[in-house]
Amino acid sequence: MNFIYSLLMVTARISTPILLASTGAIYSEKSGLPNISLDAAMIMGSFMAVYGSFFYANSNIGILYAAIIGAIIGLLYGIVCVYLGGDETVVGISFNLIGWGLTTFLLPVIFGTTGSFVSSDIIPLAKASIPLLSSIPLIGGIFTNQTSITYFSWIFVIITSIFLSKSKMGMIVRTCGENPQAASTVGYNVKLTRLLCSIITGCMCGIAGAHLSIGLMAMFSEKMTAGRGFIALAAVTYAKADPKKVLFISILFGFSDALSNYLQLLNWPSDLILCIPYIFVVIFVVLDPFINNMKIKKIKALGENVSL
Amino acid sequence: MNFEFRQRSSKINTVLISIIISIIIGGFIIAFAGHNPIGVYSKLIKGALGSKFAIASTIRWTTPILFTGVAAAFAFKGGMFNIGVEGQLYMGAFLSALVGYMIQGVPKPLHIFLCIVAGAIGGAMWALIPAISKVYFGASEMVVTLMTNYVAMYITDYLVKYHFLAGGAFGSTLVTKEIEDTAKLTKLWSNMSAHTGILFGLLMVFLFWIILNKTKLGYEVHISGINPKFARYGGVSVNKVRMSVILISGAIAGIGGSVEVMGYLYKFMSRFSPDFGFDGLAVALLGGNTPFGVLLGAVFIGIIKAGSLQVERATAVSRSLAMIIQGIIITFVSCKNMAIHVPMIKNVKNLFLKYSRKEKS
Repeated sequence: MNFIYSLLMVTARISTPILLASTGAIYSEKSGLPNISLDAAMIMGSFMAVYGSFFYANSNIGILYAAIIGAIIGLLYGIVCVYLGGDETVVGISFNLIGWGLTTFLLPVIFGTTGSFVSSDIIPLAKASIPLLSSIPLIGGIFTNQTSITYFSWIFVIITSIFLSKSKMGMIVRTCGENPQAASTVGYNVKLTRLLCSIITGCMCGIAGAHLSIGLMAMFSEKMTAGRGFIALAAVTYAKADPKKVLFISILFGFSDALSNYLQLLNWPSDLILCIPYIFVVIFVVLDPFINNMKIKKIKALGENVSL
Repeated sequence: MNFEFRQRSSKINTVLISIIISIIIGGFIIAFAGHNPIGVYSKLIKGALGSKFAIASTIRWTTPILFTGVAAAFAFKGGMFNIGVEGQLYMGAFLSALVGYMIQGVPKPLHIFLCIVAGAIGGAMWALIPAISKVYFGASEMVVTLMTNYVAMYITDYLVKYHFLAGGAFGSTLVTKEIEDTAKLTKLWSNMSAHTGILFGLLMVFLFWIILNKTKLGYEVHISGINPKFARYGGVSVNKVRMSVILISGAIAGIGGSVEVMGYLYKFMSRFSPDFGFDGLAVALLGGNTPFGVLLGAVFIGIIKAGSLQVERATAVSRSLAMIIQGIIITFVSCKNMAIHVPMIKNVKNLFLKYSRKEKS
């Protein structure tokens, strides 16, 4: 039983970057501008978190810097796509190239090393357990020894859910995504909304990246996101930007990541185990439209009209 | 939200402006790193074109990108977003390296042919996964191909580490045994890195042009990419076309991997590709998915890569600068409204001239 406790603890820790990034991406997705540069904001966030933590000897400054750089990337992405007419997929991929290239490039410039930067002067995030909740036998693990970003990500999921469904601004965001012509006819600035949502997405991805570099360990290495930004993108796309589904899928992916970490301890070939999260995403992405089709077939069989 | 990729042709104006802007931004980044931009750029040009060695280096770096560029462009033409070129390259290279050292005592042309076939099979086999998921399950090929990239890298690492390591269980680097001499491509000039693979690459671009413009398949691919519904009404089996497009794209990428192994590496090496796949993607997008565009783009990227290597040797500026510049260029190239701003600049210039003329009189 101790095993489940620690497995859940690790799952909560590892799924945080994907959870936060994909929940942030919900805003972009809902506003009608799909944001593919999640990985770019994440890796820049990881880099700046290490920068802030190292030079200011304070991990919270690291989080702040990560949030700022993420917001900047979101801003640039929004400007290029909305105002300069860039194609989102192309710009997203090229932003990722720039993000990887820039962080690799700046490693020797700022820290004087290549490959990766490790130093005992990088302050990792402080970890805390919630007193009562962490004593719950099985699931208490998720409340034990987690970073502030992890707890924040859960609160953020709740905020996002309430914001999008109950608040006026949330409704504006949704309208811009579902029917931009109607939204602009009523007078809402669709371009500005999408830009702002892009900034929020970038900011959250930056913080997610911070958790990756100074939350789990205290280092930065080239391309350390290992495609997690794309996994978050898959999560958002396949959950159709529904906060509850995104939460579920992100934790599922995080769980597969945690499982792969755990299996490595069992002396299985590490390369094959590292494949597990990616294979997981593929299986999920492949089965999801299949399951959707089956649901639709069921409904059609009942003789009702279905609009997709 | 769907990620259906729509083809868009790039205007020359846009490409030129994008290149200029990215050179300027790149200059700022170099200056931020504490180096002289003009010095760095001049070393880049010299490293790519300044000597026989440099030109050989450029040819060497252009070669794999010709393959990945054609692979990506062909997929785009068919409306499929194949980002998995990198993974297919690895699988093709791996299978090719195996055929390269396991088969012995065959004449050179036959051996090279077998290796190329192995590369094509490796790439196509790896592309089967996203192909099936797209055509039979309706899944987004973009996400699946992205994921299969990482899986390919890990699986080839595993295969080399546990089953095919050169030097038995005590090999020090993750490489397979060296391929037979009959499988190696001849170098163009001795002691330099360019090899006859470039001819294969050019042939691939030519084949791309022929298939696209002169065959029925090319027509079906073109139509399915632009308007799948129209294609279906016209009797084209869009599913079959999409399947073939992804598989052929994978095969081409696999051949690219095998040419790299036969011409330069002479073995399979773990993680040997410095983002050849993504470069191919960039080249296809930059070149508007046309054969000639891919050729120009590949040469351009080859120049940047060769030059940035020289820059890295001569200064401390990392070669990832090339990645940054590439990314900036593609970002701006894809902007529809870029070319609109050019007349605006003309207007500003006219206003300025009018104003200064008024002042004179």
